[in-house]
Amino acid sequence: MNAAAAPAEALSLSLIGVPNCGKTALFNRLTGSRQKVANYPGVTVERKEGRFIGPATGRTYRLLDLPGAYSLEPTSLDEAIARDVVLGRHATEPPPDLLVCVVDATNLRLNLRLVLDLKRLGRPLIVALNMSDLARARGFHVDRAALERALGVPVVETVAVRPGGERELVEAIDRHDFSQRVGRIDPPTLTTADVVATQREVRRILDEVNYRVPARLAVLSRLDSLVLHPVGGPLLLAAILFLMFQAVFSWAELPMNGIEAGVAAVGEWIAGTLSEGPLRSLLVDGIVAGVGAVLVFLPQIVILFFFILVLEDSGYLPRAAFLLDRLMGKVGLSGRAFIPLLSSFACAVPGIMATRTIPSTRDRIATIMIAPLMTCSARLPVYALLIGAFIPMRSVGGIFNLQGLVLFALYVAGVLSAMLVAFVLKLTVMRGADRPLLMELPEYRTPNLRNLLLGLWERVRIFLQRVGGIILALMVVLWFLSSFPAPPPGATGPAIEYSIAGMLGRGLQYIFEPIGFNWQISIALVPGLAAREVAVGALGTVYSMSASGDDVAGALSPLIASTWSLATALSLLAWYVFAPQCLSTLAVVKRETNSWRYPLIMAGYLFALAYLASFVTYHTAVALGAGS
Amino acid sequence: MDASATPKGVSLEPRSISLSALMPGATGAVVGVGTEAREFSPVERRLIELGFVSGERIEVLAQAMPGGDPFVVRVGTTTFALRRREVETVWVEVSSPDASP
Repeated sequence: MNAAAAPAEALSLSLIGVPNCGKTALFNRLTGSRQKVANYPGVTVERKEGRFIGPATGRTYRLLDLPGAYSLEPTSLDEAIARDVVLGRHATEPPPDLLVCVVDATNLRLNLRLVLDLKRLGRPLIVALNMSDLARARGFHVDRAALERALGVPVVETVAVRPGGERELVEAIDRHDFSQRVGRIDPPTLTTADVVATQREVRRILDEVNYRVPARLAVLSRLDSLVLHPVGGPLLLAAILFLMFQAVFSWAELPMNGIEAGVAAVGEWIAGTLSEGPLRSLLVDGIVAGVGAVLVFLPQIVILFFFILVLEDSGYLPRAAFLLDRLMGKVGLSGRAFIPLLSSFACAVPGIMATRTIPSTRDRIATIMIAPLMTCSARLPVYALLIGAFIPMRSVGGIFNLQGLVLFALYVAGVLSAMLVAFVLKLTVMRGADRPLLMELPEYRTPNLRNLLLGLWERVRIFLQRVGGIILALMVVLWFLSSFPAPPPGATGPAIEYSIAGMLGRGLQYIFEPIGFNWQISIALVPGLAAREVAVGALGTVYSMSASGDDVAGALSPLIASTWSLATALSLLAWYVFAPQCLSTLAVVKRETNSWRYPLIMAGYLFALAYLASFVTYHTAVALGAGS
Repeated sequence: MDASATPKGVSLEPRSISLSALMPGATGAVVGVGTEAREFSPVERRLIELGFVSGERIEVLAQAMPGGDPFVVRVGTTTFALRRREVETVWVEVSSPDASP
């Protein structure tokens, strides 16, 4: 075997293993940051590919990190894809030249079964005995050489979390003779007797290699008796979530202000450099403002995903899902839905991106569909403006403040409608037998900084590239709609009134009149499509305000308080509980579900709910005498 | 114990009871999975693949409150959160019966 004999094209390797075996950490170790992350075509399963070069042969290896699978008899979309690729039957993946099965040395019982299934296929196989250092440190007896003899395939020790811990695996791959290639393999037909027989074989091999397991670690056992405690567990969960959201809102404030100031400075610099005209307006009001509106959420996304990745890597996330399973199950959601839903209180975009931790596609879609009903931080400026202008500052019952109570009621309205929608989905389109839980609670592990950083970088990249691209394009379109045609010479009203957006707003007025919106609100809703808080600025523009940023709300508040009826204000508040007009959310749903179907359904149902809620609110308020 | 022991009739075995009936603290060993009336269901098959095979040690570690469902079961060296109705046909021989109902 020599390098010259190797085929010119990259050799394809597939990394496979049961969930929680440390497969992704090993993938990161092998490929570093040379990774491409996308979805498998037509489905929501993440596809990760990386490349590395064999030091001895100079061969290029294309490594595919398959979704975790307990078995080749799939019970989820993830497992079906892993099986199809391994068999060489996947529509868009070539049959792998070599399988690398990652097994957790501290849990061979569960892991060896998959190795035996794979070995039976006849495709070349190398077993990576991962976490071998941890196994030794915890008192396991694992004999690599004996295991290699018993299995009849190469077995190498790996330590995915340590630099150089992948070396033996890379050497073994480099030693492998790739001249024999296996194409498509027919799916194995295993009877239930075969399943039982395989388990007996696993036990025989474990006896043969003298695999010994230590008594369960007392420390970990104590940790679980708190984490899973019926009372202490939920309290700990609440404390962790409180810390997490405190961090998202307080730590992110400084960098967010910095980004806003930076974007404003760039806008001013361009405005000072270029002369007045459409190009300057496009650059400043369209592109710079558009990029700024996207970038400003980046600190919140980084902090949120830092917490989620730590919780995931440490093994806490499935335990939290266990604690909440019954509660979430009542409305047809999985316990795992809670992190994405809570994240959506910051912004639905990272919340929807976080649904990737939900293995069941159906649960994931249901969670995505209700995520925008969680009151995101972008709605706060709108709520603050309307509540400040219309709800009197009054004490209720001596301890509560009426303004605060209204704000709280708006949050509760969002959560309740989310539960209602989830329940309706469960009874209608998402109907079917309950998915089994069957969730492994992995041993606790210290999160690895390198994996955390790679995971964070991956999320940031997805956010900036995919979501940012769509949002930026839409922002430019909206700028165009709001700027053209230009107002005729001698026009007295604000420019937006004469633009396409203005015309749209006047047209929309007929639709929104029954729910009490005037034409100014209708126009403001159009640029509000880009980001909800933009509606406040747009209202300022419509009412010919020259102030910018926070000053708009201050100047606008007395004006709308004197010109709008209370019924109109309440109706607009009800509208914003559902607020279907967030293009960023719809863009990320399109990306995450790989189809237009779900964003369109989402926009449709949110619009219908928003209209209905506003209609009921407006007419109830008018009937109660708040119409003028 | 033989891992291939047929599940047939295990429900009639006087000392074996359904895993779904156990409370936290209970320990024992798996006798078998399934009922004699039919083939394995997909969930039963998956449970076997996850390690619920005859002779394997099990321990109930915790349960969610209220309702005691789902609950946490350690089988061999692996810990799972399971819903009680999913493991109704996992038959176990209890070694600390004081913790069973």
